[in-house]
Amino acid sequence: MFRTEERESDIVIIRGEGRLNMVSAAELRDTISDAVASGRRRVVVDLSQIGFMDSSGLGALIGSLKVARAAGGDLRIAQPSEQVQMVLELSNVDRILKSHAEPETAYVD
Amino acid sequence: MSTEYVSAISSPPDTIDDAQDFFDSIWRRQPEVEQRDRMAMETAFSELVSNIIQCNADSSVECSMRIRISDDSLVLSTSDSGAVFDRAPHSAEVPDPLAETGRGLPLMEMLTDEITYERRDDRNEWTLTRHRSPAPTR
Repeated sequence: MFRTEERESDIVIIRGEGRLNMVSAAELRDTISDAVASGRRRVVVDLSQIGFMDSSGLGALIGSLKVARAAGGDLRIAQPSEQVQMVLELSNVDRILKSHAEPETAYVD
Repeated sequence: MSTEYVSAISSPPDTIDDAQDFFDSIWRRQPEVEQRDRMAMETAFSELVSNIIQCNADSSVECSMRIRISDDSLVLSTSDSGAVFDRAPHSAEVPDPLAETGRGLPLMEMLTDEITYERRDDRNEWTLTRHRSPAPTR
């Protein structure tokens, strides 16, 4: 469900379509941990084609954030849908995972 | 006036995606339901049914689902064959932002107006009720 797109330096964009729930959460974690292990420690998750996320998907994002930070990198998200943004806000995760307008510029500070 | 939709999953081999496909099919037939209500109910639904599946991950579970849409409320009722649920529905604390688990029940509580749980005839019976938002004034 997820594919990786290596960008400049140590940045990788993770893209997928559909739902981020208990069925897809493990694959997201694995995809990101593999990318970080291969040296891609600045991760961007492009959520523009993710129509739905629940707490299982959110847990995968947070777990992956910890993996990226433990490797000296970070995880950022881009273009969450309205439902995904709702879940981020209700869980107060929007305070630690800020949304970016475009995945390609998520690390342009 | 109300409309009811009924389905069931049996896990394995069914997954939360099968349950959610059922949910999605309802909203295609009820486009007048406010977006906020639909998103809230969809999220609460996924939390509840995912929890039922996960609590019975080492065995199998059958879960019937009923969604009733009336003028003022959305009601999800489930009846599952799984292990008894041993946490009181209203005791869930919101975990801190860096927690990876434990958000299911708090989210259900935030997104619905009433949750009931009952163990009856060796089955778990849940209802989640959300009062419908009024249509925006034009």
